[in-house]
Amino acid sequence: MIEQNIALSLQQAGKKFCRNLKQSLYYGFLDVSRIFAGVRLDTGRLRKDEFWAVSSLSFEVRKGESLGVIGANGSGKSTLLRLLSGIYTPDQGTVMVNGKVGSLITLGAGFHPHFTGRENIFFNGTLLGLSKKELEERYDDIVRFADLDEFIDSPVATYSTGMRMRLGFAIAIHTNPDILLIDEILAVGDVNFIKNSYDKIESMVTEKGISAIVVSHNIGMIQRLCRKTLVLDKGRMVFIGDTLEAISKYYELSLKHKLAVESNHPTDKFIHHHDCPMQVYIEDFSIRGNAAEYLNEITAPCTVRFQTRVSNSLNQPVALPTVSILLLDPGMIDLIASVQSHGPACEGVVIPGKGEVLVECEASYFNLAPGEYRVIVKLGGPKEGIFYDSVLVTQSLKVSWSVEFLQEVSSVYRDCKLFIPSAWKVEP
Amino acid sequence: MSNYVVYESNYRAKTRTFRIWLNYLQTVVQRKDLLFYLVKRDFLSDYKRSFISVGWILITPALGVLSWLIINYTNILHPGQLPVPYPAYVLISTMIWRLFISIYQSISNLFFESASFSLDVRSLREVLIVKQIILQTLNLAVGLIFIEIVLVYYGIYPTWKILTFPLTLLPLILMGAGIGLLTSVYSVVLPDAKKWLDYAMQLLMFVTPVIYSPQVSNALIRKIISVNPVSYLLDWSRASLIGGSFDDPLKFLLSSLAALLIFLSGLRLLYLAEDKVIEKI
Repeated sequence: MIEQNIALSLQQAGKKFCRNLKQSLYYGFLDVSRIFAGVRLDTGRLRKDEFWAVSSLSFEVRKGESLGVIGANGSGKSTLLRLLSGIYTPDQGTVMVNGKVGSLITLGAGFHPHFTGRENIFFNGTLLGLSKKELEERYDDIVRFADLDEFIDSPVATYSTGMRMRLGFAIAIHTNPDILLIDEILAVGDVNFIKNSYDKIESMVTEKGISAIVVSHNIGMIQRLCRKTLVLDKGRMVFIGDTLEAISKYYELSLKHKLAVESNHPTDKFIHHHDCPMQVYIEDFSIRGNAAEYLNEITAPCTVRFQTRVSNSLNQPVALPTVSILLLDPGMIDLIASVQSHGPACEGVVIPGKGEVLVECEASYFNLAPGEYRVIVKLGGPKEGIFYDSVLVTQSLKVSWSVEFLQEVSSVYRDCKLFIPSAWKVEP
Repeated sequence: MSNYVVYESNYRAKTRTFRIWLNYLQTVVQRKDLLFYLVKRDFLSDYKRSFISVGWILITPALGVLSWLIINYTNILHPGQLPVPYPAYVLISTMIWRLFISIYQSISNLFFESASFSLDVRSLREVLIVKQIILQTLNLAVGLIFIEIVLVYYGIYPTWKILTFPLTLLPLILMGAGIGLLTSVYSVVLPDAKKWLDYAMQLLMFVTPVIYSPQVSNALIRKIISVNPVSYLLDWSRASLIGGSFDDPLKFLLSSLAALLIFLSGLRLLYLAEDKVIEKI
């Protein structure tokens, strides 16, 4: 029996599918015939061409907790949602659901284009489990939230995609669920609608104590709505826990997959050259500490040295092009940059023909927020009239903060990416 | 009501058969508002863009019998001894037959109806079954006005037996829905079987006394009619409209019982196999 404060619980849950359509139909025919004959199905075993779409999933979601689910396409996110909504039955393990489930999966399900928005509110609302009386009571709130007052008596066929989405969302959130399943639904809609939707989901979770499972490729949405996130890879759970860590894991995974496919040579550090002329190129890049030791994990604030080995493939010497270093957060958003030509140290440096030089950038107070970061190094730039080379270094730099530093910056700072050391002054 | 549910492999197989039927009934009662709106939506949507609108309910059967009237006029068809003039006979029979066959067809396509969202909405199929039955019966009810006008034109006035019409129609509805339910499950996992069955159902019309009398002269056809349960169900429905005699009550009862069993078996199979079938859509 499930604990009262648990909304969802999965114990070793798995779901299998078949890769081959005809084989899949054949299995379906066999299964249905066995079911009709009262024979119990042995679902835990894989037959020819079958695979686990999700496998051995075990986790719990408490009441009032929101869980993000991220993973590459085909990692099993939608299958997981269908297991939770009871549409799919697990082939292994159990799925326990404690409460009324509301789905924000197919918004506007059952909308008929020839009927008005008003009529469709009743069709769609009853489809999602509301009674006519409940819909009449909530009708004004739905129309207000959808912001469709003047169009509500027009046929839905005349609505834009965003308007249909708004109406569908407005109906779905007024079903008063205990558990809300959200699947990639806020991709369409204007800024105001997206903001209102976020606010509504947040208030449902924090004020009404409902549980939410949010599946999205929109990392910003996951970050905003969920403190805890599950990372799926090929149907298996690779991480569950703090959302920031989960996002790092997800990007690490997806980049590794991408580069493993491209290079077919997976290592701990990837240097991926973009399409550049490369007469002068980046031979190697490394992150080192104060004592020149290699780093991939640091406790900030500390000194970090970024070392770039630049080679010249030409026979004649060339002036050292500009070296730029960019740090990216897990969402591949540029955070900070350092450009070598901005400093006088490297001015006039020449790389001999078929030779190389080592360029070092020292950050003496490196204090990015805890997380995992990636580096892009660029060689050349507009000044030289050419980008000689641009590499994406996927060696991640895991940053954590010392206890003292954490105390200093307080929990307010926790969600920010960069702490700016500054002098404060108080005047009477 | 508690919303605590445990999903695990074979959990549906643990449900007792009687409980399955009761669950279906309870779901339909609980979701009666959805049923109302689905019936309203589908009934009106067919005619919303049409200038003739619901007039099609009357026009369709009239056009449908036209071909049989021409065939009969050319004397190719020998319908046998009929209790009423041929146009009235074939009009009534084809309308009742259309109810049976359209219920079969719509319910056998249950998994493909609204397939785009049926994957994300639970407890939908129970309602869709009843919706299809109501929609098709509603079409027949409107068409009955046309039938009665034709009958009165031929001097056939309704008798007390017309009151039994809904009752005599019920086994036919159950038979159509039952075969449709069994087919719906297999139509997804064995599409070829559905195609064969569709042809078989078309053929069934010609071995059921729809366009000719049960007392047709061909001995083989008479033999097939005598073992075809749909014959008795259709015959009684027709008799109630034209005030004819209710022949072979035992065979009618046995056919009705068979219809009920097929329907209940269809419901049971649908419940037990639904999750396996959904995966294959």
